Amino acid sequence: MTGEAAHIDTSEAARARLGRIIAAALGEATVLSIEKLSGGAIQENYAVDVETASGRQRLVLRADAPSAIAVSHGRAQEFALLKVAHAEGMTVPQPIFFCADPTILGKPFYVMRRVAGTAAGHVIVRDDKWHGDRIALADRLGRELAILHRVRPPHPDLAFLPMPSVSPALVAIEAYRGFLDSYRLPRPALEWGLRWLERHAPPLAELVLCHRDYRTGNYMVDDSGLTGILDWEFAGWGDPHEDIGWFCAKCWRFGANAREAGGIAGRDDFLRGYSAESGRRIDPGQVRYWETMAHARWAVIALQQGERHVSGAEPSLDLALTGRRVAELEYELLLMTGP
Amino acid sequence: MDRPDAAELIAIALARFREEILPVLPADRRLAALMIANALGIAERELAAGGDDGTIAAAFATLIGETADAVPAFVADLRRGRWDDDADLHHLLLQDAKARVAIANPR
Repeated sequence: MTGEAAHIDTSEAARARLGRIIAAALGEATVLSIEKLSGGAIQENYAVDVETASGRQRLVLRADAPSAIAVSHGRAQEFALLKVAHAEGMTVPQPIFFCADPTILGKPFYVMRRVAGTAAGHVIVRDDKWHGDRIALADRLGRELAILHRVRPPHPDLAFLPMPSVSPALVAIEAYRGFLDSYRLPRPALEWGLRWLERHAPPLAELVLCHRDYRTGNYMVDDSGLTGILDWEFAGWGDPHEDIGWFCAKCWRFGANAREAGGIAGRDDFLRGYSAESGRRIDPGQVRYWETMAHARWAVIALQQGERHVSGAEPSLDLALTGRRVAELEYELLLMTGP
Repeated sequence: MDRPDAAELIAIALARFREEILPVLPADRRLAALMIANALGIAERELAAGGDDGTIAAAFATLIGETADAVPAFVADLRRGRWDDDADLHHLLLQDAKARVAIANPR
């Protein structure tokens, strides 16, 4: 692939350009290394080490992947969201700068500080050497989410986020049906689930800034606990129960199904932290609703990711296997929406 | 068809891969190797099943009709509420999903 669809330019000349633009933010800087990080189906992440007057700095550079799914924000919007989260006091990588100029690396990107640890969900739920105390981690993640949910519309830096005029659940259902209309095959199980979700949709109520991908796999932990919450590209105004449901949904427990809060701890551990920080009363029925929605949403995303491989746009074993996860998601969705 | 057939070849290649290759791979290649084994396992089970969802497809056709536009019409009806809480349809969809899970992600 060529042109702007390809990976970022990592030539010597590009490194020199990157060094100059980093210097504008951090002072005199020499790029020591640029290394592609694994993961991230929607964007490309690079570990960038630079030498500055104050020593070696470990950074992450994020740019769009060769083919991205339509519903996610671009890097400029994601950077704005990261800045808002950081300003609220959430544990996120410190945002440094956004670069819209495609002549630097071939496409827009932003740079943030690199946080230590791992985000790999299947490792975090199984290996106790990560994340310190599980219950404390769940409590902390609940508190972090409550901090995010303090952000209410309108917000001057987030004017690009669409404002739902009906229940956010109905907005989501309409979007998923729109996708299914364009998909090459009918998906009766998913249609069944969406109809159930439509009939049981909660009304338009309190709107808060939702992360919309707040789950195990999208936060970093080291042996002391949480080091950073990642992946802000789906954030938007929504129902606070949505993020809680997504975090607790069975499809995001990485097989550790008995630990209902993201495969790490009990649901109550997570909700205790959330309620203590927010003072908000959480309706378990609404959380359950959004857990059901989580399976429909993940099924749609999995179909889209599988399609990126199937269409030939981006041949990838990861994307291909994600495509085949749709069956289990549809199965769980049906179990949750029986007559 | 010549033997061993596609399913048999994948099965034996996968068994060898799991026995001899996976255990000696460095840790940073293990995830990729598990994904390769996973993909081949799905292909093996799908071939072994022989694309045989005949019973479910027939039951589905009986339920929604067999005209050329039956499926799009069914989807439109479903969205309009025509099939709300229909236990027969739900049962059939569940059976179909279960059969697909048995191929893609047996537990």
